[in-house]
Amino acid sequence: MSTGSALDDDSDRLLVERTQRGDLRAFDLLVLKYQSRVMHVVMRFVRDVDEAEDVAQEAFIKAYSAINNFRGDSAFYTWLFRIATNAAKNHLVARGRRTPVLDVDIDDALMHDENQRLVEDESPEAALETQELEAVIKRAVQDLPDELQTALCLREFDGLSYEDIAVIMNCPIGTVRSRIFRGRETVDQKVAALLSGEPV
Amino acid sequence: MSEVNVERQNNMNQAAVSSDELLSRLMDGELDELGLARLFKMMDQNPSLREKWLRFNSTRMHIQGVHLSSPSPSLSFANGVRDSLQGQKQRRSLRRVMAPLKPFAVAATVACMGVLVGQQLTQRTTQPLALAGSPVPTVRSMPVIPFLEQGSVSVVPASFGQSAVVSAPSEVPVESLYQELARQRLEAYSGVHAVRGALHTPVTLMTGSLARADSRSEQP
Repeated sequence: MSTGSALDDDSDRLLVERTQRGDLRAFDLLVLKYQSRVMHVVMRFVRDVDEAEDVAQEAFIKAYSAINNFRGDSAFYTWLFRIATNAAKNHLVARGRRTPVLDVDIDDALMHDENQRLVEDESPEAALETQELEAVIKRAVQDLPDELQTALCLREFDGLSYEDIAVIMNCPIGTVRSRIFRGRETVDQKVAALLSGEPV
Repeated sequence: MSEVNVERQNNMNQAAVSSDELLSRLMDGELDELGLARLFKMMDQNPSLREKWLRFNSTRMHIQGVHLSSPSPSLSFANGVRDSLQGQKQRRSLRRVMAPLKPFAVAATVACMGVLVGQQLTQRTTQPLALAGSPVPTVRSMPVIPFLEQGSVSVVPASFGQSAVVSAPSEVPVESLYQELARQRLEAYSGVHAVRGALHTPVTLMTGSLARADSRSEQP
C-alpha cells in the first residue's frame, strides 16, 4: 500500500484548510504525521541523520510558507513529497555535492519488495526495534475482540468509510466510530507500554 | 470517595475519553470544524495528545506495512519546526506593527542629518573681507548682523560694500543679545584694523596715500 492513501486524504484535508487559515496547531499535527516519511525521503539524498533532520525540518517550513499555494489537486503528501525532494536536492547543490542521476519517485522512495512490504535500509538496532514494534501491534490487533478487530481492519486495511463499515457490520455509524476508537485505543496502550519500556 | 469527587472523576474521564476519541475521528477524517476546534483546545491543556497522535499514525503505518528507514518519529522534530514557525510569525507581526512607522523613522533620520550638517556648517564661520582703500569702519557704520537661525547660511552686506557669505553665529539667549552684538562689531573692527595694519608700508605712511583714499570714500 503506498502512502497518500484515501485514509490520509480525509484527515489531511481538514488540517490543511485549518493551516491555510493560519492555525499552526493544525500544521503541527501534519508535521507529526508525516515527519517519518519526509525524513525517509530526504535520507535517500542525505545520509547523515542530523543533516537530514535539518533538511526535513526546512522542507516543512517551506511547505508552511507555501501552504496557500496548495489547491488540493493532488494529495497533500504528494505535494509535500515534492517540496522535500527539492529541499534535499538544493541542500546537495549548496554543499557542492552531486544530486542523484535518477530522480526519486514517490512510490520508489519507499522501497517495496514483491510482497508489498518495504525493504528496510536501516541499522540492525533500528531494524530490531521496528520488528519488535510490528510484532506488538500485530499481536494487539489479533487479540482484539472480534467486532473491534473487524471494524479497525476494515478501516485501516481496506480504507472503508464509517458508512460502508456500518453497512457491512449492520450497525449504526456511531457504533462503528466507537469500535474503531476502542480498537485503536487498546492497540495504542500496548504500543505506549513498549515505547516507555514497560512490560507489554 | 465522596459524590463530588466521583462526579469530578467522571467528568475528567469523560474529557479524557472525548479527546482520544476526537483524535481517532481525526485519523479517519471524520471530524468537523467544531470538533477540531475542541480538540485543539484540549491539546493546549493536554500536550500528551500530540504524542498520542504520533503513535496513532505510526501504528497505522505499521498496520499498513509501511516501514521507513528513518529514525523513529519524535516530538523533538515537530517541536523544532513549530518553534521555528512561531518565531517567524512573531517577527512578521513585529514588522507589520513597525511598517507604518517607517516613513516617520526615515523623515526623523533625514531631519537629524540636516541638523548635524547644519551644526557642522555653523562652526565654519568666515570673516568678512576687508580691502585696501576702504574707509575705517566706525561702530555706527557697522551693520548689525541679524540673529539668524542655527544652521542657516545667508549673504549679508559686509562692512565695505562687499558681499560676503557668512555663517550665522549660534543662537544666543536674549539676555546676552547686546553682548553678542558688541562681540560681532569688535570682531569686525579688529579684523579691519589688522588688515589695515598689514597694509601700512613705509611708503603709504610717508605719503599719506592711504589716508587720502579713506577720506575720499567717506565723502557723500
